[in-house]
Amino acid sequence: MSNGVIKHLLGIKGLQRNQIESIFQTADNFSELLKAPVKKTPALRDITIANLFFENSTRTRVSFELAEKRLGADVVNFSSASSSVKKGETLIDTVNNILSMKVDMVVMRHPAPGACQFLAQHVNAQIINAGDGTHEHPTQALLDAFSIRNHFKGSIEGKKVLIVGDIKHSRVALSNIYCLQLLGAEVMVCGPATLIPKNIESLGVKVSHNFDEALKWADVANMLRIQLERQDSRFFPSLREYSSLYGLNTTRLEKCNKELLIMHPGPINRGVEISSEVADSANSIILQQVENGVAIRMAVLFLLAQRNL
Amino acid sequence: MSTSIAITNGVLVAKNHPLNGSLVSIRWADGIISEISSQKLDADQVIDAQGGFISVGWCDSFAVLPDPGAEWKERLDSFAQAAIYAGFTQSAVFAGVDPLPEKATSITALLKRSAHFPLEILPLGAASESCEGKEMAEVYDMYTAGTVAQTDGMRAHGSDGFRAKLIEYAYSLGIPYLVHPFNPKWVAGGQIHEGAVSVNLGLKGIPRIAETSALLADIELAKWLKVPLRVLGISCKESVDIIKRARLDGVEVWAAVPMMNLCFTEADIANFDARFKVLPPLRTEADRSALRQAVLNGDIQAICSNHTPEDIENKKVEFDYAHYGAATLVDFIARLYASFSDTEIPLIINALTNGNRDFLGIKSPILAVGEPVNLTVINNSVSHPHNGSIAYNQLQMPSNGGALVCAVRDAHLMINS
Repeated sequence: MSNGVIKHLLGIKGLQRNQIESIFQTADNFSELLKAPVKKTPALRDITIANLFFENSTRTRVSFELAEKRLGADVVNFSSASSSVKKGETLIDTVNNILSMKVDMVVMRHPAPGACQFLAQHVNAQIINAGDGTHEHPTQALLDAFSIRNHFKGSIEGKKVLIVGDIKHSRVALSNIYCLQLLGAEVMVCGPATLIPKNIESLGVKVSHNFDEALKWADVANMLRIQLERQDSRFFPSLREYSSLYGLNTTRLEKCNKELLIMHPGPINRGVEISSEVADSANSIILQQVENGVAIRMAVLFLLAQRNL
Repeated sequence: MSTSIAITNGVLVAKNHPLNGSLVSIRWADGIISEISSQKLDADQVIDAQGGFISVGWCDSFAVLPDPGAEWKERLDSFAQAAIYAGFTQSAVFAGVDPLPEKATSITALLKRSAHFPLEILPLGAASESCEGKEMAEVYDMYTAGTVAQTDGMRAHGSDGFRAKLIEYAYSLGIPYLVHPFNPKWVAGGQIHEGAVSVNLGLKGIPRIAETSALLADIELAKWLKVPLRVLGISCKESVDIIKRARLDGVEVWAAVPMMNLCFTEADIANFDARFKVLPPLRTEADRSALRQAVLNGDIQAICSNHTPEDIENKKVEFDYAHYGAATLVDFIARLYASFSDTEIPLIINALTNGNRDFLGIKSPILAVGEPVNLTVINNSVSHPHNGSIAYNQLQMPSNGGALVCAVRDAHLMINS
């Protein structure tokens, strides 16, 4: 960051509250645009964006691509299941090769924490983090917070947000914690002790292992997927036992006897962390999250391209 | 006709010497000390220490040299230059990656290659075959070829049963075995200390228990086998406490801490800075403070450089893929001066002289007339930043510049300037 203006979006950490609010205000405008019959604007007409996905992604990749195309940018996509390092080429070389074809911005997902920060230090392009290992997923946190803000008519201040599940392996959790706290929300994480990072209290969050008690505390429950692909051994005995302890279902919701906003960053494992009834219920804003994702990503791309964030 | 040389005007740091703590001059000729005096001495060549510290030559208790096998990371000659630059006249070195130092021939070759160096190389031999911690290497054969101790360095840590056999076998033959307490079963994928920074960066952590559980097991083994324990590379406050308790229980424990763990913390990694990705990991300020205090009060006797050079290609990558290790020698003294006060420096010098040699079980040079000269002189007020003459192909530690260092051994006199 220099003079309060950021060149890259590497994470929520390091952002100021007014920058997030600026993204939200811009996203409000793009949300309106996306409801119009013509959903495009030529705001990034002369900009070329490379989407580099070194890890599997469906919704984030599509969401970014739609956001870029609706802003009129030229888009090039590169996907690889494994990192370039494993193929013998360094990440810097891979990206510099792409940049030499006159690319202005890079949206990158990578399995290694800090990969976007690393890239930002070594290549001459604007970098947007689309998820780096178990570190951050800033646009997901922004769209989650934006969705909460919209649901509660404009403010997150004082809201109690519960993040449930595999916190240890989740980049969404970390970015959400940073973002929500910056906007004045209280955050609690809940899950089996084996899936909660040690020292997470140092981030100023509450920790609970009792889901029913935690639900009574919360205004919002953000249910996370179990990231089996990041687990080298089992962190709980079985999905059945996990679901009985930490799965959100109607019985549990009825017991807590309150209006609770239900969220999920996707992809959903129905019947594990959330039942179909709850995922599809009126309290769920899961599809709005996906919808808001495009507007938020358009806002981020637009503001960064304008050097106005 | 022999040429006499004198170092004057330096504060002597030598615990049992009558002039300890006072300004001294030391003169020698033909590599033999001819006079030690509180008066200024004349000689054919006079070096003014300008109020700096004079001590017997420093000894490094653990460094890694990837030659032979990965000479592009560092060669024996550049290593020797860097060690001298840091003030060492002796260095215990785990030298070689291909082959590993697991045969007597490797040890003999290393001694032969370094015979003419001003730096005395003290070879460390592998404790287990391929350093895998499974089967014992030919430790006696290597010891007779010239190793000062056997170790698998900072990474491998065999099972309790393997370590028990090795400790017992080595001790029965009078071979020092340096054990690094580290249980890899606790650290699948661990990158840095498990703490606030690992949570912040989303990196897998290496908890203190990976070290303390292994250390406790080693102490129980030493107690059971009734042998002393030489613990290489401790990194946390809990380990200091464990060592102190073990001594109260009658276990003879020697311990060495890496310089990096005395001078840096996990906070230095906060920007995914792979230069600070080392083993043992940098931990919290509380850990650093406890280690520092333990060195000052003698609970930890030795400070090792843990110099482990890596080439830039293995560091300038995503943090998860960056190799462990840091080239610590060039900035060694500057870092110690930055971390300890002038009144504490004599205690650090004591660790770097007697402490490291006690840890390795070797004798310290004698500071007396008629003995071979083996001295290190440092003065932080005279800055001689690294002039780039030491050839490195690796990401260096950030440098604060250096101090005047003068290292003298036998007929060799080396001054940074």
